[in-house]
Amino acid sequence: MNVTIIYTAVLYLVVVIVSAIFVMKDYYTIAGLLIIGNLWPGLGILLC
Amino acid sequence: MFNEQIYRRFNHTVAACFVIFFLFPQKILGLERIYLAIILWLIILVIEYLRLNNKVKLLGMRDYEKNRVAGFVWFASGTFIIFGFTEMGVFPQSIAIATIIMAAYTDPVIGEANRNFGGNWGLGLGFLCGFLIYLSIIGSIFYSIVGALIAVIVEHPKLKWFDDDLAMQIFPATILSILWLAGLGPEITETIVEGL
Repeated sequence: MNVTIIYTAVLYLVVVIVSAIFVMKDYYTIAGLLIIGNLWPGLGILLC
Repeated sequence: MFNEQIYRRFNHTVAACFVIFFLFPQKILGLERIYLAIILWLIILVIEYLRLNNKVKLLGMRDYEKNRVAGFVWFASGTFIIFGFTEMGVFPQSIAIATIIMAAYTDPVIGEANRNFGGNWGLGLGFLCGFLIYLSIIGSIFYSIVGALIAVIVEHPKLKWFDDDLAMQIFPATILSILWLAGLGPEITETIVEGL
């Protein structure tokens, strides 16, 4: 369970970092898709 | 309470982040960037080999994946095949990026829609999801309809030796690229992301 929490946190970090890089490079559409697409299951895990 | 279903969905949608590959410099430590993708793919294959031989236990696996190649391996394989063909100049980069993101999101959308609503909701919402992703990236209604349609069609058959995670990337990317190369579709921007 602890491993799962750490792994999930790493996944969150990956999404945040990758999205931020796309934003910084002005690729807003791709960044937006990455954020929106991961928001639904990401929040789902957070709220469980 | 840990929800394995949502956990699996999150693992699937995170795969969209693979498109960061296209921001990598063309050469990393003197090697073409595609070799980095190949190394990552080999690592994934080793993990899967160990999992199938009960050397490691991965969370979130489905029961039927116990003795067969898991979805994440199929998805990664599809993505790395797309990387390879894009680097060779066969697939336009815009189609490659749109297809990887589309496959990462549309498959979970179809699964959730089927689970919650049944009927043809999976097909309908899956098509809508794929269409909107293609449209937002490629910007062509023609390619968006064709790509989303192919994705939902190939998602349906459940075969042991060929997973929908692979099919939903390879078939749309290949057919859209053929249409583009043959000049049968409207003109699109080939490269939308420049490497660092």
